[in-house]
Amino acid sequence: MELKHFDFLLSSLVKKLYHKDKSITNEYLQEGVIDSQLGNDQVLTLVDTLEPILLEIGHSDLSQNALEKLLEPLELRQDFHQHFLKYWEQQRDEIRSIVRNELIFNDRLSGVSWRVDMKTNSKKISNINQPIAIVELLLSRNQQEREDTKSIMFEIDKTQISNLVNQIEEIESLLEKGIQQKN
Amino acid sequence: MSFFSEKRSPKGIFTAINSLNKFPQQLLAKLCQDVVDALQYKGSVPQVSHYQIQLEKNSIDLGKNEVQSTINVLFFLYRDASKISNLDQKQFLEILQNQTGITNQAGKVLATIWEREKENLPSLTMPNVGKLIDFKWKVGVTFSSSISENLVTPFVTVNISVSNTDELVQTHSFEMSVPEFKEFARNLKEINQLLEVI
Repeated sequence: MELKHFDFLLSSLVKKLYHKDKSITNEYLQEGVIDSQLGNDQVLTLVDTLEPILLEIGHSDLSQNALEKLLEPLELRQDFHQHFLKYWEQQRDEIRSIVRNELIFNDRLSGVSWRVDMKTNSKKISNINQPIAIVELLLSRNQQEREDTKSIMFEIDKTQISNLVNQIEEIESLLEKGIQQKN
Repeated sequence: MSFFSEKRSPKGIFTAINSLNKFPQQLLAKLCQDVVDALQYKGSVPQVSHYQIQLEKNSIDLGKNEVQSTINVLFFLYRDASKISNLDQKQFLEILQNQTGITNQAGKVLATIWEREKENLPSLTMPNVGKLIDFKWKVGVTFSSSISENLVTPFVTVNISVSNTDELVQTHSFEMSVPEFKEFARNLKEINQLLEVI
């Protein structure tokens, strides 16, 4: 088996486990390494050893050191071992955010867009031609196999956005403190 | 809030129309056209100073506020009218005369521009956008879950209430992971900066 086969298995398994790609079947994996001189059974055995490790490191957000320890008993070839470590280094952030999003059971914020307009309609003539922002929030929720998205639009003026930013800054400092404590 | 269909007048409209009445006919026609062009994104919002200068040339002395309120009321009237299908020139003028103290002459100027532009305006009406009524938040840390035992991570949960034009209030709740919240925060700060500058 060459490095490219090992890489194929790794990346396909990540697609299967984290991106929920249903097309990654055992047959697909075996097909993909058909020129590797590995028997079908050997491929499946390798997959069975790699899968739990990939699941563990993603869901537990393990460090490089922890991953090294997990890989030791496998006694992988040196270049495969290094490749796994490097691959995880690259994929880690993306996989972490996939797992985090799985933890949001209801609606999550999937998009923010906005524009600034001059207000041309109001209950008070004096409010007209004041700048206001129109914000659109996209909220998504995973329903069974598909994702439902709804859009919420609202206008917000200078005073309101200023108040909002104050609250945002409060949240930011709370998160800072929280992260510092964890470290 | 509809002036032409529900006969609801915004605060300040009488005063604004009083100022509008003082405009010479030609200048008023130019201003109406400028407003209608701005509504179609064909030109920028009319400048108060420009119109004050033109009024001075005609020996008319109107303060900044009076000129501004004239501009504002024109925006209001043309936008409001553009939301109604089949509002013809005659109806436009009639409602305007019945609801405000607009002079015959000024009313005719506005109505003429309406007649000319009414086909162009409606398609550019903005969607009904609600107002933000309330914003609540909480920050929590998930320290365990069925999906992932060791992923200790903070989440920000937000609850916003938006009232739409029918005065109905809808509340929406959503969660954000830290990177998502950072993106949310970045957008809001950008908006804040822009609104401060304009």
